[in-house]
Amino acid sequence: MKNIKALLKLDYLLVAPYWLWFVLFFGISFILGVFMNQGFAFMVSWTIFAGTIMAFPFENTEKSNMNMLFAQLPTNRKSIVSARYMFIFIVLFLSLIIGIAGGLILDTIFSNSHAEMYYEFGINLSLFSLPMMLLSLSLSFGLYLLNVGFQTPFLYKVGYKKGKIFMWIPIIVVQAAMMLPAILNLFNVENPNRFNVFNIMIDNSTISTFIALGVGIVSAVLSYIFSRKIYLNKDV
Amino acid sequence: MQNILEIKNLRKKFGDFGVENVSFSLPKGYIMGFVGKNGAGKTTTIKAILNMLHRDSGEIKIFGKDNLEHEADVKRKIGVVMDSPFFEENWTLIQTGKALKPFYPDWSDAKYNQMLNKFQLSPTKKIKELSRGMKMKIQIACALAHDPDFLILDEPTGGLDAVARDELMDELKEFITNENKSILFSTHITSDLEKIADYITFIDNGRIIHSDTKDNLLEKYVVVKGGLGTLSDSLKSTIIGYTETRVNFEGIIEKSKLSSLGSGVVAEPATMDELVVYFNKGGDRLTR
Repeated sequence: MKNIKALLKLDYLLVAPYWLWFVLFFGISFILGVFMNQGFAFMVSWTIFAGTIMAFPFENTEKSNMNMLFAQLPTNRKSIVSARYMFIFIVLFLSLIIGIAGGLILDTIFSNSHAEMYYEFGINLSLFSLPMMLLSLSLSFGLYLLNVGFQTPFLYKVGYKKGKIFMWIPIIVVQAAMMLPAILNLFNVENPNRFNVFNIMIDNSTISTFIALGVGIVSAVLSYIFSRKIYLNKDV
Repeated sequence: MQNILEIKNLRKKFGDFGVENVSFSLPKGYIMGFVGKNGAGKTTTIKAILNMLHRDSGEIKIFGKDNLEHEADVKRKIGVVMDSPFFEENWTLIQTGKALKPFYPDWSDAKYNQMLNKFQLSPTKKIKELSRGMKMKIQIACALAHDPDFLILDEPTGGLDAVARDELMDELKEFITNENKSILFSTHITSDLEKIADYITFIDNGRIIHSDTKDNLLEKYVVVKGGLGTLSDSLKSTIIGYTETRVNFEGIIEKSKLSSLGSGVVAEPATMDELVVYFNKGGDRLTR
């Protein structure tokens, strides 16, 4: 346990130099939330970006040749991977807290436009409503873990230099899904809004909540299993 | 005599390169120089000892324990210095010590600070601001701060000036005054070996060609020189490695085979430099 705490501290020291990226992503997510008049938009995009930042310890490790340091520390490789995933979860929960706080602030500011959206959807879309809060939390949780879960084994396998593309793929996929109606509209597809992922989730908020949670948990578990297998057999 | 390090039949292959059948031991209280040309397998062997590489087969014991089964235990008492640094470049030297301290129960801040002082390293300087020699020194400071029993150094003096090399040798001599501690260091620089090594292990093309005390080695081999006309076929079959010019030759041979020398060939005691050069030239003869 003592080594896990020391490894967590090491991971924190590896990600700390990238604090500006946290600020940048926070800013982008906040602007997105303002643009969409939705605390939910801020919360979800911010947590996805926070997941992307989890690739930077790999960059720092590679840049500083710290794989050699990790390999000679009096700990085993299982602990190194376990600590990395614990760190990922710590950042997730901190991100959710920041996401909720920022989202609630935005929803307070935009309470009038929510009233209009309520008229369109028939439900309260602000984070002050429990179904929306639960959906936002589970979606943030699920997408963060899908993002991190996808990229981390690749980063262990091929390193940051070759594997950095994998940190952007989940963001691109999520953004593409959110932009799908707009893209289909350009091709004159009839009623493109039926492909609006957001609308689909709102209409099925309960099941969407559980699916997002499930995706997150499965991603995390599979990712951990693969990462451990890869790192345990890796030559430094 | 207890061995701090025992390697038996180590094998690790990367395609058509690697180490094969590597076996040697290092007793407690001694320094071993691990010598070989570039690509001979020194770093591969050292990485296998530290479990940075997964060996294909063979056995490695440190402090009498298997280095895989007791990895954390064993590494707690090993200090490592590599030829290039491995700390986050934005860390200050204070932060570097703080990052490593939690891993080592025997870490001493006093010792760490003492080493920084001795090497004239400012604690607030960042790793990226250090010269090559200073980066080596900070590695040594970190390696010694947790009171290891076994120091492993991979080409620590490469690229250092004579003063820095001398400082490092002094540190190693001081470390080895404790008869329960040992040092394994790989090097190209034979003067380092002559200064401090008790044992020498030669590796060439992934195979150990010699592992013995320095004194035995210098006792066992001699340099032979003569005109090209005296380089008979029987001498060529006995000589381990040699160079020839248009008029003469020079090489090394086992002292026990001096009787095979013809007239006109002289034998002289070998220096470490000469042994390293000629072992590299004819190392495959010793591995057969």
